Amino acid sequence: MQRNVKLEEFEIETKPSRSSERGKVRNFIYDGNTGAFLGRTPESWGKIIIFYIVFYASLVALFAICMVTFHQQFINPRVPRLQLDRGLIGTSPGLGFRPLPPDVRSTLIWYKGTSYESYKYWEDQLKEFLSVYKMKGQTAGAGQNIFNCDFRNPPPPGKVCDVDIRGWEPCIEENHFSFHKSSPCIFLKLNRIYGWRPEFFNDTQHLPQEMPVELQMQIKNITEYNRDYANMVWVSCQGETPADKENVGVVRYLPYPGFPGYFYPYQNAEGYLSPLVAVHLVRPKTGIVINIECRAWAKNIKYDRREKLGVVHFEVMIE
Amino acid sequence: MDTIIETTRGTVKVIRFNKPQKKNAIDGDMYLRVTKILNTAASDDEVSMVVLTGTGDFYSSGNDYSVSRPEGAWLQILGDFIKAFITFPKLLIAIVNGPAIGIAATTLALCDMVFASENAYFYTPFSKLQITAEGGSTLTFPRLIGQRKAAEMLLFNHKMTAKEGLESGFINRVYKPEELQSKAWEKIQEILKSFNKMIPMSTKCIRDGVWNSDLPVSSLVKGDIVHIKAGDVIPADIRIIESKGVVLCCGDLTALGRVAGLAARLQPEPSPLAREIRRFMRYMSIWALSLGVIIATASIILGYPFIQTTIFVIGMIVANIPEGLQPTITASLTLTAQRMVKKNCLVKNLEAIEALGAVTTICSDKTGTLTKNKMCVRHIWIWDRKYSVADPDFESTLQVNQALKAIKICGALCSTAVILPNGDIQGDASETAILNFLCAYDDPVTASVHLNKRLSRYVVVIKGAPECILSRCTAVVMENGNVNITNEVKKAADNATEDLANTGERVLAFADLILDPKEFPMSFDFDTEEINFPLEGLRLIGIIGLKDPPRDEVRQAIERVRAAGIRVMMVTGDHPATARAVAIEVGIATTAACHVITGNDLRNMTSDLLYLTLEKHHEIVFARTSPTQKLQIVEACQRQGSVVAVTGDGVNDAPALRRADIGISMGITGSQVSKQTADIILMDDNFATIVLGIEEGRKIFDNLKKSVCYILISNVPEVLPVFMFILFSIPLPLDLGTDMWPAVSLSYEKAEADVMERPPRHGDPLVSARMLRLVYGHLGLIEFAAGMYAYFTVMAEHGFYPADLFGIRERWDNEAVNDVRDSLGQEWTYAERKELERACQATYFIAVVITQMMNGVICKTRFNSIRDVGMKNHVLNIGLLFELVLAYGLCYLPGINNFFCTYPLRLQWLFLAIPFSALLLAFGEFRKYCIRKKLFGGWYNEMTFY
Repeated sequence: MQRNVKLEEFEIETKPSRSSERGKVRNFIYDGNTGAFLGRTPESWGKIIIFYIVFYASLVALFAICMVTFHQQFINPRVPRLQLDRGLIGTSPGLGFRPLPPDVRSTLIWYKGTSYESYKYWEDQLKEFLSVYKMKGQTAGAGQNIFNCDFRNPPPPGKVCDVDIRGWEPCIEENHFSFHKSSPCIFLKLNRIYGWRPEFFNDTQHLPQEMPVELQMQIKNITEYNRDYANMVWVSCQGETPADKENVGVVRYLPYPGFPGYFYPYQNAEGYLSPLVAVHLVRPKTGIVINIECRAWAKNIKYDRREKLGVVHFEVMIE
Repeated sequence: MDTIIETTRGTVKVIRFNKPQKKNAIDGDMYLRVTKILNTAASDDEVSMVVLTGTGDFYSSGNDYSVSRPEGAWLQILGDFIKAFITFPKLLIAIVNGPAIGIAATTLALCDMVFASENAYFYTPFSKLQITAEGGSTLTFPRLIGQRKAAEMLLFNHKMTAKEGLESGFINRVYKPEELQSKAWEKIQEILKSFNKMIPMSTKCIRDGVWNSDLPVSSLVKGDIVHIKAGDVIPADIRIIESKGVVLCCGDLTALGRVAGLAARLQPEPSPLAREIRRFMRYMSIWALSLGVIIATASIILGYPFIQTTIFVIGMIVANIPEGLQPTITASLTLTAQRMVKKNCLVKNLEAIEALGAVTTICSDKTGTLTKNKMCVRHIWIWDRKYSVADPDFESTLQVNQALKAIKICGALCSTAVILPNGDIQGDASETAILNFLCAYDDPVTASVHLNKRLSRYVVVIKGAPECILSRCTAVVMENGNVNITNEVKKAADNATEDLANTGERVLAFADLILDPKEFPMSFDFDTEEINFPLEGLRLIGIIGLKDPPRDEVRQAIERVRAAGIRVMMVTGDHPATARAVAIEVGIATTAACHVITGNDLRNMTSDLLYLTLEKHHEIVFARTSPTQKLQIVEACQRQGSVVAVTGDGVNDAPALRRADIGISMGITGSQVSKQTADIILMDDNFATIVLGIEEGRKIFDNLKKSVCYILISNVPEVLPVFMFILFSIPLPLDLGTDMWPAVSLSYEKAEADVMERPPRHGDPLVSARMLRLVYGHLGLIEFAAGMYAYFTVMAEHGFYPADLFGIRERWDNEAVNDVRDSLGQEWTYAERKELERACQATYFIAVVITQMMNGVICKTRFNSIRDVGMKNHVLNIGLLFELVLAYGLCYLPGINNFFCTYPLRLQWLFLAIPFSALLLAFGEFRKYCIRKKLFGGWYNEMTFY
């Protein structure tokens, strides 16, 4: 091909130099000419770091100012801002049970009746759970708040009621919570809701229809003994199906079949302990899963089995 | 004064009532004249339609009886007039520029189409004048507007407004008075165009020895012998022998067909926008996937089950998809295309309009694009001065000049061009130009007088290249008499010739010779083949410089384009000197020493050399180039990394148009092939529209950047909660995408102040590191902080203080745990917790929406202050409002909030994000202020000016 000589001059003049890819990468990591590291000189890195420190400091500062203002204005460290119906916790406390199984998704209490190794887990769980009840005298600040309450003497503000461990006998630690005798004790507790006051079923003549007959009988027995005892959040446990009901056998509630009313309302007083009911399955059938449903009874505890409102479900299986 | 002005526009005959002093009332003469015009036009093949209109603010006020005539004559005149209307076989269109009264209104009913201005009304007060309704109106009106309305008009003298006329079907369109003519003519052009397509072109040819006088041109085949006359269109390659031609090939095999084929085979590069989007998507995918990997690793290390990890990863990848991008791009491109169509710019390929904004090089064809493609006489050299035709006093200075008279005669006679009956001139471009020039400065009738003179004495008139003519001349015409040619005169003439040629003009010299009647009597038989008359000793009359003048708007447009940092090159098939001259004239070249490369030079160049030449010289003119060379130039520019726009109208431009990133064709002069291959068609051939397109294209890209920025910001509060959830085990805050509309509506933003002052974006990607820094490092984090603040606040109000939330997740999300204790000792069941979680997520969502709205405001501008720009983009405003309403709807509408797992929030939770919105605005404005003022050593420009 014939070339134009006149135009040839350019070719020498400005031939574009193409640096190799590897050289580019090396230059990017460290450029000897400018001292740039990762594409920036130390000075530039310094600037950028300072810039971001300042920027994030001011962002964090604004965040902190907002948080602090909000906390100081609205948040009381002892009292929730939105209580009961105003918040989402509502006015219907949930019912819980102990001991909890090791798998968080399961509610099955399963052990071999005779083997210590087998029920040790459950015993340890309960020990741990009840340790605060046992230790209450020793815990700093909690001890002096204890007030000896009864139905006629509700605790004054700032004081808390005592939970008597002895009342759960034989469901006590020394007795392995009766697990070793294949008649385990399950502890029930009602969720704490700040300021919640139960509305008791205290009219023994007009107890709800669906309340188990056994419980109705017990209520009548207790209130005959002392009228004040009617002010309790009653508790009943039953097998879910007729078969379960048969398999459960006798259920004893210790110390009472309910949570005494003087524990309420919960006001986040130092050292407050939730009242507990020990449910003692005296002679449950062994070798079979028993579905048990416990329900708390108060006029303002909503009950919905499907939504698990006011009710707790667990299974027991003793081999 | 002429009361009827008759003009011709192409094949349209225009009749204008021109008696404004009497509101265009029609008198007897006018009736006769119109009748005659209509009747002539009816049988004239050159006329396809007649347009009626009026001068001034009235169409016509009806009869004018002031010129008295005998009673019978009037009836005859009126009768013929109406009859001409009724029997007129072609299209009859009225452009009603004002009120039409009486007979003017009744004839409107006889027109095929009526365009009226808003101030027109129609009034037929026959009963008031106590005459019968004339012009067949009793028949035509009821048909058009119905019996009732017609009765109202004809019997009760109802004055019908233009609006009413439009509603009742009396007229076709109503336009604003100032727009009437242009809009109406637009419609007429449309009609004409459809006419042209309907008229088949035919030619005369001999096939197989048989004479076909009316063969459609489309059925020409190889071997046909075609008779050619000027103005014929013959779609075939022919070899011309005298005035006949043999068809050599047709269709794809012709030279033009091959060029068109080349154009069809070429695959254009993907548009810059498509490239950008692809790049963006690639980066986005890499980013999302690497985030996914990080999340997966983190969650597996922290011991989450596999299914949970998978959900995290999918959630993360989905959160990173910029879902609003595609609708935004489509919306902005479509909107702009629509807007451009209104400005006479048809965008065939939507992405091309954005590419126009990115354009770095425009390769423009000369003829028809930069110039009018119409030869014009620009200069006349008559002993010993050069006169410019454009001079305002040109006519007066030369009025009495002998030489000019001679040149006129010579120009008129020495020409094969003919003036058609309708005033059009058909023939060679130069001769047409000369005749046009003569027509403009003299009455063509005088030419015929001189023709008569010629009968008594033969005159040889000659025109041609000056060097040929000069050598044959012995005398020259001076202002008053002939003078023998001396060396001085010769030199002056040579100088003038060279002078004109250097400015790119086509130069013709004129000379004549009066023959002795004794030697050449009336009966002398002249033979131009074997010349039997003297062509020596001529008398030089003058020299004419012809030129294809540049379009009026081009110079300014090129100036603006260059100001926008775009290189404009001329690529033409024309002569180098002409090309250079035009380049200088239109401003493509700023110095006379601009680099001109001819097709020959180009042929000798290697591609590297061309590359280097393009780099070395900024102003380049390519002359004498072939279609393939045009293509080669475009490709060389593209290899440089340029985004190339090619403007052209001819078939030879088609390959380059196709190959270019943006091919721009001309709507009026452009050939079919060029229009088909082009991405953009300038309907009015106005080069200045390109500037507009560039501005729009840049605006699109700017606005896309804003949209992308806006979309990306909302990714941050979608992505970070997942991290929070995994790393700190807090319950999951959540965000839903409701920001689609504002993202799209950002494309309605007006262009920013600097859009046409900055160089084209070159290597300026849609999503730059700066934008990512701004989005992920600054704005997104503020938004996230707002969300988290709202989230923590709601949690705290319910008793879960921030410090206690960290690490709570395992118990929180466990359905079996019915007593999660908060900071105040309250115990929460699973259902209560989940409800609280929903409330928190909803608050987070609302906080993000509110800050995101502020981000929408911030993203409105990249450079200008919001204060200056204002909130004038109503689509965005409504979009922002819609976003808010939608977010609230999602929270408050029962059923819907359950479906989306949101929650009807307490009133005060809606305002939690306000301080962060304020911070966003303050930061945004501060940042833009710093960018404008280049504060901190241009720190913000370098860091965050995307």
